[in-house]
Amino acid sequence: MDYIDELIYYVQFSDMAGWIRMFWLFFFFELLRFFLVDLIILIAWRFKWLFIRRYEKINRSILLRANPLVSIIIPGKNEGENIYKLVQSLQLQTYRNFEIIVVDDGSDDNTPMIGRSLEQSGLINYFFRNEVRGGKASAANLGFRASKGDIIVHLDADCTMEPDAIENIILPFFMQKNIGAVGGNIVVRNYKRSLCTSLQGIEYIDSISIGRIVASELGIYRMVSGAFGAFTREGLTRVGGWDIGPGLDGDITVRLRKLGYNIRFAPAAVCYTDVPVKFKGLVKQRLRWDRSFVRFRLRKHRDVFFPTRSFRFSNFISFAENLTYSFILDIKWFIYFFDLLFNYSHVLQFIIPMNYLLYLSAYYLKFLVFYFFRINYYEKPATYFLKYIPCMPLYFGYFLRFVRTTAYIQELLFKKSYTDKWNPLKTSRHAKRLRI
Amino acid sequence: MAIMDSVIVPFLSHDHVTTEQYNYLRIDHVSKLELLEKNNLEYDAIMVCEADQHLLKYIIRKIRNTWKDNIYLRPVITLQYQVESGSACEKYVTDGHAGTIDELEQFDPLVKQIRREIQALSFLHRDADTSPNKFWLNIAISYMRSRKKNRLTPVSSFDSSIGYIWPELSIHFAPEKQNLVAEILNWGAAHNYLSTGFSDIVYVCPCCGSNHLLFRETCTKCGSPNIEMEDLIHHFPCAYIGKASDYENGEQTKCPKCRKSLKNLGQDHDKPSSIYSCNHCNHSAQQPAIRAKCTLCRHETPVEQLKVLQVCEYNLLFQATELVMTNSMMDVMQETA
Repeated sequence: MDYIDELIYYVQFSDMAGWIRMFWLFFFFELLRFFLVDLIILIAWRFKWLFIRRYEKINRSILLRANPLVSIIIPGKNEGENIYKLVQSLQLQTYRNFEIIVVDDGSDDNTPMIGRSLEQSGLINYFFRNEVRGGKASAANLGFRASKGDIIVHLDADCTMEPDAIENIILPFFMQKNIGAVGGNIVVRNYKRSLCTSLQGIEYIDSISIGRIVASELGIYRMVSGAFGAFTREGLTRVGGWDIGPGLDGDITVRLRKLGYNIRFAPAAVCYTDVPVKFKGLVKQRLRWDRSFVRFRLRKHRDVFFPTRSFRFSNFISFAENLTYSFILDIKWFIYFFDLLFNYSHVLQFIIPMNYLLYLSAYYLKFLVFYFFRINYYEKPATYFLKYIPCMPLYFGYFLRFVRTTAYIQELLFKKSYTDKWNPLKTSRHAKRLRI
Repeated sequence: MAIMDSVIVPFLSHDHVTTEQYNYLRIDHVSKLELLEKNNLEYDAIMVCEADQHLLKYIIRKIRNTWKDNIYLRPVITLQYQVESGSACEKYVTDGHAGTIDELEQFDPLVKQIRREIQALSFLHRDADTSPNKFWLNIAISYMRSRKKNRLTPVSSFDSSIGYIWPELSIHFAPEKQNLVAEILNWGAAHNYLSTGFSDIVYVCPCCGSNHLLFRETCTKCGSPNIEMEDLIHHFPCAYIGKASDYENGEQTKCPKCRKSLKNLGQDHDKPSSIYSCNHCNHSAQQPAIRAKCTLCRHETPVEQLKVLQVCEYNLLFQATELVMTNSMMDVMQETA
């Protein structure tokens, strides 16, 4: 009880200046960007929605009258069983004028058999198989080469869709001019499977369902997820399709932005996906994702920061924001950690729990406030996820930060992404040589 | 037939060959086929001597199709020339081949045996109550019993519309009607005259039952066989993948995405698969549909919809023997058993 009394005493007698000094990282960076800015933008977005609701309805009827052919590309390796579930969910779509192109990238299981059978039964339009694995980019490009639609939708095979997902993802192309790509809303399907998936469920709500609305409204949306994204044929043709991954989805979004296309997020286009069940698998996935940040943002597309002919202010801001809050904030966090260690070592036993409680309160507040802004796709999200929120400061603040820092170091020092087995080495070798 | 009717046989002695025991009717020309049914001619067996393969087969077929007075059961020996094709029905319903006329004598025991077996047969005269299937079955079983055969073995045949013949029955049907033979035999099996054993599977046209099919790779969309296969090329540095023709740039091969010239296969590109394009509807796909065109009725069918026909060998059951044997002979057989 002595410790609790001391902690309460310490909290009571700390003044505002002391709080800000102790928790500067939280107040000046995380609270500002990830809560206040998000909240303001979300409120503005809601108000805007009230005004454009009628406009959206008109455009929806224009879309349904125009009825453009949509080509759905599903590239993947060893995804036979997932493809069947995905195709079933596509059969229930409200929008019907689409063709499904499944590209098997050198599977060594029963995928070819399932694919051919789906093609013969007419559940999919085309099944292409590369006998030799060429990587996800080449598989997607083959699908694009064979497609005939005006709009190309890229899907991951392990996804399933809400019945109106396709209609909602192509609607923004009719709402606004010069749209190059639209990102779909990715929701964790197996969120009840383990602690790891539940935490990712909360993370996806925060960073995708909410975060991408904000990024899209600010005009800095830079990642059309490969799991569910729509592109115009013209845009894809101009950028030449997908380049070598990992991180090909973020890369193609940036290349479209560089050509002057606008990128939008469609929160009502909901797609469900399975996330890693164990932390080991999650680490592997995030190392890959975070390494591609360095590879694409800091290397391949570093020209965004320079006043070249293709310079766009929104791209600069988008990259600068990404760099600040992913890369520099990571460094700042370590500075903050050492700051505490050297200047507050005598009261660390009070500061660490205070810090934790501060973040925990912010997570609860954010979750409950932002709940009103998001599309309602979970049955009882509040009751289910609330009990996992106490783990979020540890998960997001420590675990993912540690993984992210490791990935940055691996990529900056060793260019590890070029040896990632996610992509065949025969293509990564060329990417490394060409510095792409 | 007009030619045959006008033929006059000048010398009867030229139409017979006599061995120690038996009198052979000599048929060395199609015009002599009419001798088969001459009432005043007595002969035990038939000797066919014809150099032309078509005529030789024609003569044998005619003999086996002459049911009057059971001429079709008589022993038939080819002299000097024999049926050459291994898949010809006529080869299997010929009782033997003699190189020269002197060798004819060695067939006397066979002729004797066949004559004896024929005497034990009762012949069915088709009337209103006799079903066609039973009639044909009787014809075939009579022949088999006269040759002491118990098994109808299918023989692959180029001429047959289903690719197989059962010579003892097939000889009575035109090559394009061989599916009827299979139907008759299956009827026999269903009515306990024959037992069946698996031999092979054939795919036949669902319209006319013919096995004479042309298999073609066709477009999955429009069904046209006018398709062209092309290799797909994957360019490693830029992940472009497309048809080989996409890379054609005058004399050079250049990637259409990054404009780089292709180097050696495996170094900067590979060919992960191939794709076809339809010259009729411009459709592209990787696996063309295989369709079968029937040469007989010209019907086109996807191979999955072809009719599957099981080719069986058939063994005579007791009821089949009962069908063709005289009552007295059946009594003898049952007593022996």
